[in-house]
Amino acid sequence: MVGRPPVRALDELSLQVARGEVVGVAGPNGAGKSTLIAVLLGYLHPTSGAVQLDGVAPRRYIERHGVGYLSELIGINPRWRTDRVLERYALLAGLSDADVVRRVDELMELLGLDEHRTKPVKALSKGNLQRLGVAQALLGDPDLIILDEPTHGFDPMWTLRFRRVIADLRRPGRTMLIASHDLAELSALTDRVVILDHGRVVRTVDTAAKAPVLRDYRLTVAAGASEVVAVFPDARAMGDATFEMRQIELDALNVGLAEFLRRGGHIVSVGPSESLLEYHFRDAVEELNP
Amino acid sequence: MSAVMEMAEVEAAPRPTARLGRYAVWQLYDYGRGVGGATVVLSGLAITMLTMTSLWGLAHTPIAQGATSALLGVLGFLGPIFACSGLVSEDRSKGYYRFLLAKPVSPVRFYAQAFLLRGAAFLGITAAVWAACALLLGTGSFIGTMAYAALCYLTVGGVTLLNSTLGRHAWLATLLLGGAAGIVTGFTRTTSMWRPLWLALHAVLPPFHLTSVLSQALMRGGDVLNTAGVIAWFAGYGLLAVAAALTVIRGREWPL
Repeated sequence: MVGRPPVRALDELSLQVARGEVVGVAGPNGAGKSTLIAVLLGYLHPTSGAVQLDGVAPRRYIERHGVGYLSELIGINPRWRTDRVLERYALLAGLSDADVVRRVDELMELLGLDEHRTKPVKALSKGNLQRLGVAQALLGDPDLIILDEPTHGFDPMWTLRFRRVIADLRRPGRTMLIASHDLAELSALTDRVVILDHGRVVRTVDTAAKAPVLRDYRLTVAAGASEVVAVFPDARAMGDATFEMRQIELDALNVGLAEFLRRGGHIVSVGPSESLLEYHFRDAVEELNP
Repeated sequence: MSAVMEMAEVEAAPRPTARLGRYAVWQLYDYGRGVGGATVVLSGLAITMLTMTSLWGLAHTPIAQGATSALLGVLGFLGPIFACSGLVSEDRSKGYYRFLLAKPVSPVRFYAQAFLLRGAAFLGITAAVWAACALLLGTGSFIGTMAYAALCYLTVGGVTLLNSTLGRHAWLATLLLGGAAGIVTGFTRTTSMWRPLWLALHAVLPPFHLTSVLSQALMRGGDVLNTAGVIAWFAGYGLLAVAAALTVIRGREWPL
């Protein structure tokens, strides 16, 4: 037989998400994020093990309650009209006729689609199509929301607005799972982030946790660049008067900065080289792929 | 692997499920805007061409009635293939299922309803084509024509629906199966050592070669009672195909 060899997309994966929790899923390309979501939705069946949503099999849960799902690839018939798309999905979400009109109007406005409502889907830009995808996911006010790369195609303004939309969706009893490459987004939106690699959970990061004691910091100076190395002997010049201090404690950094200022140095900016989540992501992936 | 997610409060009010009855309007609309509309246009063209031939002078004679019955026979076979070819495969291959099936909807009910609605719409088209034929050139019995179209929809449409759940180009698979059934039927009349194999294949392959027997019996005043076995075999095969299609829809994975 000729065909592609089978791929173990998820392996020994164990994940429990509590009611009301907002969980992020991060990982390099091919880590298994989309496969995990397809399994959670019952679109793919695990070859071994079990998946349960609220104590029942995924399809059984979804056929009873529905899920607010945004896929990475937006699959909507390109000939359908934008507002009619939401009307159709609203009927499938079980909304009454009055609620269909109200909810479609609300979401059109919330996601800035009003001016595009009579356009066919094929005439929408990537960002507008993505927003339409988000809108259809929120139609039925679901208790479970699963978003796969939700800000893919958004401009910076809509990325920020989207974060507010998601923040407003938080409520007791509503569970959200967000898969994204954007670690800053996951840091801002989630309670914890599960890092996947090669189909396994390699680390779980509490996004509200304190930073590790030793971190890398980046310092940019306006004057006194030569003093930086004198104060921080291990500092590495990055160019453009920027230096990186690797694995340094916060207290030692502050003492050093005070000394630098005393010597007449001027600081433009100073901060961690990477966010907490970026640190864990890099560390976890490097640990598995040295 | 294991994954557990806790969602709705147990004591929360039950959520509304999909309003499939209301959604039927959209399913009919999609058929009408797509292959249903094409079926109407092609049928209209065929009637127009028939009336432009010498048949016009032979209107309401057995010759004209034979020609219109042949047209309705072809419509009965090809219409269900048009109607059901992309019913599931288009949603699968283009990823439309992702949002549809994330709603509180049973895929089996969703596609079963679409199949039935398209069948009803197809019968409506058949009735309109019959009326046009009857008015312009004369044709066979209305009830017989509708019975033939319904049987064809059940069996040809059912097999096409099953093919649509299994892969793309269901129309081609249905035509190939029909062609194979015709060839195998010819071989069953031989006396070669392979005859048992041909007979086994004949029993498994769709009985599309029987459509001419059905059209003769139902539309052209043939002996319906003597073809009761053929009708039962044809309908039974269709019911099994539809049941198999719905079973596949319930159990089969959907592509990433």
